[in-house]
Amino acid sequence: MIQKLKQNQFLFSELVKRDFTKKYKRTILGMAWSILAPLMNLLIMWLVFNKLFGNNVDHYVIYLFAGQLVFSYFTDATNLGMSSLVGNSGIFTKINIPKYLFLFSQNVSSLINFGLTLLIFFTFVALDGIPFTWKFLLLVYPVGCLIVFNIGVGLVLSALYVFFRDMQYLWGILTQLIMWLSAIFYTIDNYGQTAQYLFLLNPIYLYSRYFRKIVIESTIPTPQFHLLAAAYALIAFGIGALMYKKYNHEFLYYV
Amino acid sequence: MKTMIRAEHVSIGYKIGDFKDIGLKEWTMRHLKRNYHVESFMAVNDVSFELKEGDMLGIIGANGAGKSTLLKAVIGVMEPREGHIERNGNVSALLELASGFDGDLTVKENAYLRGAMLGYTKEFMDATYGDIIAFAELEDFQDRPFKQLSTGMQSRLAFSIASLVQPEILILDEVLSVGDGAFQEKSAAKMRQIISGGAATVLVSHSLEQIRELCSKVLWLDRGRQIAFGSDVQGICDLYADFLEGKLRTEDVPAAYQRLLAERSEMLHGLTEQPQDESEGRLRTAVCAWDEQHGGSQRARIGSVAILDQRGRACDYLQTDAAYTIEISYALSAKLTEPYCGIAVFRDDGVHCYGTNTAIDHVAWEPGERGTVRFQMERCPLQQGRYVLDVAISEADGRDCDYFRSALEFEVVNPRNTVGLVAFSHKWVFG
Repeated sequence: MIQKLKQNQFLFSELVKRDFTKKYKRTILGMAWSILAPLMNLLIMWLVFNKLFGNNVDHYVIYLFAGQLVFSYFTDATNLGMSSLVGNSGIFTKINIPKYLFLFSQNVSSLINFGLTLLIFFTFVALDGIPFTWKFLLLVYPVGCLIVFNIGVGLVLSALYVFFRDMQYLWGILTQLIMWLSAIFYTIDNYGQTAQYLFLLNPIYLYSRYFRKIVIESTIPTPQFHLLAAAYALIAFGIGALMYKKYNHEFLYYV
Repeated sequence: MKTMIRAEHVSIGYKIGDFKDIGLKEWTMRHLKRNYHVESFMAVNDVSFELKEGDMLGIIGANGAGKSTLLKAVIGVMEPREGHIERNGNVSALLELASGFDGDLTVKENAYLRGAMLGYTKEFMDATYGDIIAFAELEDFQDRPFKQLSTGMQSRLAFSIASLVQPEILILDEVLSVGDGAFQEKSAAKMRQIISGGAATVLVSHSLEQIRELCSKVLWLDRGRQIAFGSDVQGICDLYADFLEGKLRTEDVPAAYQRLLAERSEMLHGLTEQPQDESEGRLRTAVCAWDEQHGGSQRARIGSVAILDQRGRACDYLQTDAAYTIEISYALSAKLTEPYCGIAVFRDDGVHCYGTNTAIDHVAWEPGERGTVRFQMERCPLQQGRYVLDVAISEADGRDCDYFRSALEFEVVNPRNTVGLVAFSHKWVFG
């Protein structure tokens, strides 16, 4: 068992190395670019929406950044993760290795990206004059949930992509929809109580809300809020794991 | 000897149809129009074989026979729908040479990645990497991107990694013909070294010469069905060659194979008529009943077979003209009618040298529930060469209870310089 784990650990680290090298093509600029892209996005959003919403929201830049941070990690991880099975079909149809490792290793490079963006986020928070409190430590919780959630969605998508090759387009449309529904650049204060609850059905909104509550409002979300955050992550992960288990030996017919 | 791979009645399903490379949109449309066809078929159908340490199995068969599918099940990429496959040891597989290598990574990075995929630890790869590169003759290319290598270099690297990691089970799919002549020789030598180190190897090849030269067992598949499996490599390859030349039709192969086996057993107990059975299902139950070396009704089972020298020591090197005893132990599971025990000796090129049994020799044999039979010969008349010994216990009408093929392989050395197949006992008289 331990031997098995050790073997997989070596394979996993080699896969991470491969994905990382391929993604950034051994250039510093490659890495910088993947952080710059969400920042550019942020800048454009700020330019466009600041006039519209900026006056009603405290620390609008941070508000915007928190939403953008969560959303871009989500899209990055899921879009890259989606092709992790199909892209490695040459390997798993020839060598018997755990297939989920491909997705996990893809997620590591997305996670590193997220981590770097998170550092810039905290720099912005400091620049905006928001004091750092012990409550910031609680952010580990939504980050953890988000990692599990992204892996779960990635598992589901990568499995689906094996069966349906137009998933990329469909997912593109769906992420657009999720972006609009995640209240990244607007607030939902003007909606009715029911509508506000409906927003909580969106995990991305939920996770960015957690960030905003801690960082901007300095309040700790309710226990129910915590439970919901964990539930989304576990449900997504559970469905993904089940799909991998069920179709483990079926994938090969489709690639 | 330890069994490395055991496949029992393995059937592997495969799916083909409209599902490949389609989108959700097309999938939905096809379902609505009821135009969605998926065909599931058995790519491998009821195949059984067993490999022990040091065995090298050659799989032969036309394209689409299910060879690659079977290999995929052996390495665990596919799951048999029926039956099961047991593996004892780590598997190193080379299915398609360059698959799994990444063109953007360097040779070194690819070597480590492949090593990791084959299940080795970092420490092991650190220790072995130098040898791998040296064997592949790629010392000067270690930091080049993989895509800059020529196809031959890529294959050499793939072969080196798969073979230098000391696999216990090595799977090779059409890969021995890589590289130039010199490398081919080197890789064949490496193969022999791996096999003599106790690994079990499975080789798929279209080259019959390669199979004849390297393999100790052969499995012939045709459209998923097992036509033949056994250690009579030359015999089965001969049949297959006939089949390829069109002298033999697929449907006649089982009968021909049975004739081949019957010929051998005929030589053993002087039988002219072997009951022929049309169905191939019967063939396998009749001939390969419990493993590839034993066939028959199982009413008797032969245990150990040994050749003893005058001091009673088991030996597999014999000397021409020396005295030996073949000792056969057996166990019966039923009362046999008119039982007899026989032996047959073949030279390794298939020449039938001698065969006899207790019935031919008019020796009455009343076997107990278990016991031993000793075949004593005052002098071994065989000349220099390698030989195979078959042993059988049969009963009335030539029904085999246990025909033990290749029970023993032995070599004869001749201290004198006489030539030919047999050494006559003789003296010269001058008048």
